Amino acid sequence: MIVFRYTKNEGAEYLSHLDMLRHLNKILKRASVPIGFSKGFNPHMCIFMSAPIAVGVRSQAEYCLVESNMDADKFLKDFNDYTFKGLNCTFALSVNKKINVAGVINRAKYAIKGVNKFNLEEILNATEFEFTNKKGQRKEVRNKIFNLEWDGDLLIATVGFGNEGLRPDLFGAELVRRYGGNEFIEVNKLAVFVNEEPFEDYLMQFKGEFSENI
Amino acid sequence: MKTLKEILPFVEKPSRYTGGEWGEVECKPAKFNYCICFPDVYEVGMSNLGIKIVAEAIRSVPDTCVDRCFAPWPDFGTALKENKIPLYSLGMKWDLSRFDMIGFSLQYEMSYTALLYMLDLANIPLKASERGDEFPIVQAGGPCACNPEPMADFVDLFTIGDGEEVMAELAKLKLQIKNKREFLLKASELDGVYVPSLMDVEYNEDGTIKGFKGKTYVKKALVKNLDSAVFPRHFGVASTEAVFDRGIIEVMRGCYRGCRFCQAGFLYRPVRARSVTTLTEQACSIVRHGGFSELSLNSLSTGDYRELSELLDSINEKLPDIKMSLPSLRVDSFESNYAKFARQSSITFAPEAGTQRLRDVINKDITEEEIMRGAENAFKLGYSSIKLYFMMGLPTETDEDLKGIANIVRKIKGIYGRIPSRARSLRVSVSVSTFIPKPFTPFQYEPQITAEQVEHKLEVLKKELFMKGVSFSWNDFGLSQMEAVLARGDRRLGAVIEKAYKSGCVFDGWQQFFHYDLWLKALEECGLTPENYTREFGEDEILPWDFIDIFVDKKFLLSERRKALNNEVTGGCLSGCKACGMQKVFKCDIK
Repeated sequence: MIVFRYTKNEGAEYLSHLDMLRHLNKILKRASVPIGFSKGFNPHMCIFMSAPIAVGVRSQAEYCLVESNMDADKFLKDFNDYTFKGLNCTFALSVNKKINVAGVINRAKYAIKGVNKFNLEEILNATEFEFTNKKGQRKEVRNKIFNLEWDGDLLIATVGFGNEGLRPDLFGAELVRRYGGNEFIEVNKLAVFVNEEPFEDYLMQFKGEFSENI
Repeated sequence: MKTLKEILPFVEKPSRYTGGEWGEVECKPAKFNYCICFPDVYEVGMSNLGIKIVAEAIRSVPDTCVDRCFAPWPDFGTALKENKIPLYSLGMKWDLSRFDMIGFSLQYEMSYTALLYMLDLANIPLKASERGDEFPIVQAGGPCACNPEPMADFVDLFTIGDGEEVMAELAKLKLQIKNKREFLLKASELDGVYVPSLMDVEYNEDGTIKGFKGKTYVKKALVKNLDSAVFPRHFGVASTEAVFDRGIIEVMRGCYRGCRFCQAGFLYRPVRARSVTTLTEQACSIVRHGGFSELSLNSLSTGDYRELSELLDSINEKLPDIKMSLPSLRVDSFESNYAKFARQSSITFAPEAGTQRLRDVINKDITEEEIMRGAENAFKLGYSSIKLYFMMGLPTETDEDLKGIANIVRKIKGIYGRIPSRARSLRVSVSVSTFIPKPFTPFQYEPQITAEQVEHKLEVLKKELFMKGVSFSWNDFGLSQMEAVLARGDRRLGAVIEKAYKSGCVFDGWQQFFHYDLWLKALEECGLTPENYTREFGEDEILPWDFIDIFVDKKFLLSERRKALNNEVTGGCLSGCKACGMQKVFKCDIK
């Protein structure tokens, strides 16, 4: 089993989640990565991606698990030989367990550009924060906001990710509505976590070879 | 004003507009910069093989660069316009107007307005006569260019016939001659090049053509050896899923059959095939480079490729995991050993007509027994769904012929009922389209049926095909009628197409964007009606495309027409040469 990290920028941020799956499939095929297949009438590669992000959001920290017993360093090199601009493998680790990357990752850190500076305490000290979700409903999401800080003009926000996540682009839009800023905000996903723990630290406990045959 | 970066996240499938695909050849400015423009959306264009071949052909000439551009979906098109961003190419992100030449692929009559749309978005004047030397030369090719006249106002130069050799010649010529007028004059001497500004058309009072003036003879370009012709070694992998997300090889060009309604069957004559060795090599290169899991063996009738079994075995040996698809497989060539490679659950047959008599009229030499045998073979292999394509409004058609369609369906259902161990119940989808008489076919003179006739025929079909497990679909009459008008039109249609575009017609082939009323209005404002072009053409009339020679004799087309009206079959090339005219310029492999 290999868990790897990849980027989604320089144009690749406009690819949808389904298209990404299709491209990962093709890259692995081109690179002749030995990989496990499902055993149905229409077998497909065993690729498991972390939860989707919105089209247009750039990312340095997308993760994926593939059923392959290839050497992780060779995997990283081969992947990058057969990929296209914006989608690069930046880390790969062999693990001894099938890790549900979409399930365990529950927080993400983003850099949000385009929101006017405001006093972060207003949100961090509050017990409530309402925002408008994709369906246009007002939702209470204070419990999904874990940390906020300024890095120059960039707002660095650590918020919930995955099933119970908070969409950073909509969160940013809400901040612009309250505190002013650009009509267009840019979002860059920097890192992901399992609760407080950076995901790659979490992974280290599973470092090793997968014993069963793939 | 918004920037591209601010627009992209808010349009549908933004990856259509970003480029950077794996496998696309990197574009760098060269002495001759050409942009292939496809007048349809990205997913359709990226699936097209013709533009890939043309790009490869031009790239084989030193000092050239080939970029690409597709028609933006209306949401993005509107955003470009509102924010004054000119339409750009995907490789170098150049405005289209910066190129030396831009070339449109005309695959379908209903994409004509999209050519105007792309020029418009690129701030290039629509009319050739309004474009000075500062604008790129606008070229167009593809099957619809065989009757270039409706688009003559907008295009500087048409390429007619096989594109690969003539496009390379044009690139070489443009490298030598900078001046537009001089270039067009010189280019018009090449086989397969038509320059509308060098020809005039005179009309009779009744609107029929009196004659042509100027350069009045154009030969189609013909690639004599397909096996050695250029073919891309690899394809770009579409960013967002293309209509055909697969590798494609071109097994043959041309078709042995000679169905009298089929324009491609006459246009792409003679049959030229690639060798098993070449095809296997091309398949391996394309599939491995792209990482495709599916390979399509393209031609007008792949089942007629003489070494099909050898080819399938050869590819299967080299690429054991590949799923092969054989489009346009004919009923009679559907043998079990081909089907096993396909591994699909649905099979498509195109009997085209419901009775043997009408199939004889159209020279579709397939018997009902062959259809039934094909279906039985498929069912035994586990297929449980069948699609059947028919036409209505064919010459000499009666209600009996339409009832024949239902008879075929009933018999197919009967065969399925006798198959032991069937897991699912059979699904039959019957699709009936309106016959469109096309240039360069024996039926080019035939009228198209009227709205009233269509209504009656549909009534008969709906009643007859009301059966369990059978779905019946038909296409919009207005769309078929406009397709007939544009296919058989003359130069007077230029004004109509421009009016239609300006009133909002674009992507007419997409049902949701087709506005029949706007097209009728555009025709009316130009003093025309659809009937001007859907009527029966006289055999002694000068047809708008008569100045083009595709090497099939007009005499042959006329004799085929007469035989059709007498229910007589001619058969295809394989039963002996029928002397269509091709034999005068090409040595076919037919005795």
